[in-house]
Amino acid sequence: MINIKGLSKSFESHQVLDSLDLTVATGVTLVVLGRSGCGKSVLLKHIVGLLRPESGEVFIDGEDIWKLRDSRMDALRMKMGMVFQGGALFDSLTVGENVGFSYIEHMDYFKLSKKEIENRVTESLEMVGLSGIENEMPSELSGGMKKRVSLARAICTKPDIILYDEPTTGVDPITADVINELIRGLHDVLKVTSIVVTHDMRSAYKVADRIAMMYKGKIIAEGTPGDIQNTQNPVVYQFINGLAKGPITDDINHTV
Amino acid sequence: MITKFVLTIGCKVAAGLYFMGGMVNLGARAFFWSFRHPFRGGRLFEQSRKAGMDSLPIVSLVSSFIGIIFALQTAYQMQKLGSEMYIASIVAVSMVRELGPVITALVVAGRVGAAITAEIGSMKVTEQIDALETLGSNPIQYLVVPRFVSLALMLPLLVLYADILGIFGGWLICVYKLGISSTMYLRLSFDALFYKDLVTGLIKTVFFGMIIALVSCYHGFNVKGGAEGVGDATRRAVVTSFILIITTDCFFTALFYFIFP
Repeated sequence: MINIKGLSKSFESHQVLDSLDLTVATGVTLVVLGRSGCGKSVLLKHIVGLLRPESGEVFIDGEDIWKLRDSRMDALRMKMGMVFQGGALFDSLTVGENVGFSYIEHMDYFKLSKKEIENRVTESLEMVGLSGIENEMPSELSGGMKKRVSLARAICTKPDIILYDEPTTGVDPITADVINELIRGLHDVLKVTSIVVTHDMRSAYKVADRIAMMYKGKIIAEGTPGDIQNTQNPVVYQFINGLAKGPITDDINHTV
Repeated sequence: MITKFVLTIGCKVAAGLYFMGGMVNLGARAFFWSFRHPFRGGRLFEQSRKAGMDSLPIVSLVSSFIGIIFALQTAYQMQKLGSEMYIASIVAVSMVRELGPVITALVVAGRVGAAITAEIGSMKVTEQIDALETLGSNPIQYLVVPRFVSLALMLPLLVLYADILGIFGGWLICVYKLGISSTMYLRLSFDALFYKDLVTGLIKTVFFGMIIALVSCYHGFNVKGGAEGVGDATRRAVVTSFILIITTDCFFTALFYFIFP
């Protein structure tokens, strides 16, 4: 279970997160919606401990991650996977080394033989619909493939929690659907707790158990996909229907 | 006008202090993680190859030419006094004490340091460093330690090699241009050299190596923005390394001058 309380963060004078509260129950896939640059990625980076909050707490399975020792935090990170927006594959390593990175680097922790690691890597790549590319370099892959390899890397260690930063942005519709199916499959089969940050509504409806809308550094609405579709909130309504006119754009015009 | 001037100076001083603080912090962490399990021999070897072996051609070229140039310039002065015999000892002592260490360090800062900043900087902008952390690996241990240790070990070896080639450059001029016999040149060179010359020359290069690694990694980790940020950080890393190498050299030369007069 992920529990976020009163999380605030600002960069220079720009308040990105403003006392944000959010709870994700174990085994649930939560989609966080919001416009580009509204701080969705920043929220994810706080959950995985890459950014330190100015105030507020992040609890994972009841543990405040900023009160953990480094070794405990690293152990916690082994149970989490993150899929970055641009893939973030290590370009000095092959695809196979990227996917099996955690196993290779933390052999003492996982205690797997070389053969077992190879099998896990192949299995993870097959899960994302790729095979036989273990020895290729990331620079030889297309954008969509990089994203899928990144997803394979995140699921390779069979984590309990997976965070997706815009998993379907910049890929073709078919690959996007493969990724959506995969997120759904991980939820159904492995009961993974997931947070998916996106502005792709099609993907959101497909994968979400619950949807939260982020606006001005806060979660302004949260509910099942049905609740969100029938929303009375004008901000959420404008966003999910992709309307050029509405409170969000009015707000921008006012500030300008 | 005066307020603006004071403010500018104040900002520069604050930025300088911030940088020094960051460097000390990074240095302490790199040192700490150098002795922590797990030890990555493969990555250390890879970085040592990049910093050491791959630098041999350019170091060979620069140091042998410096030896030749230095011998020619000294000959120009010495011929007026009829004391060409001193060229050998002057070249040997200058190469080993000063020119070898500093020139090699500057070459390595430009060649290896710039590459480190560009590589780490690109990793930063493409979120690879964040990915490293989320996969439970410490970026200091994974990225900084192999570069820090390999440069601290490889630079003294490169300098030793540069010293030999520099003396060889001087030998070429003295033997083929000034007609001094080969054995005479070598005897004069080695008679002029004391262990302290070699040791003081090499000790400082360990520090130069650490400086190059830390400055380059620091600027790489602090890249902001995209390609422009990487370019900017690389330029800053090379300039800062040059300044720190020269000032550290000045400090060590003064220190050794008083310790081993």
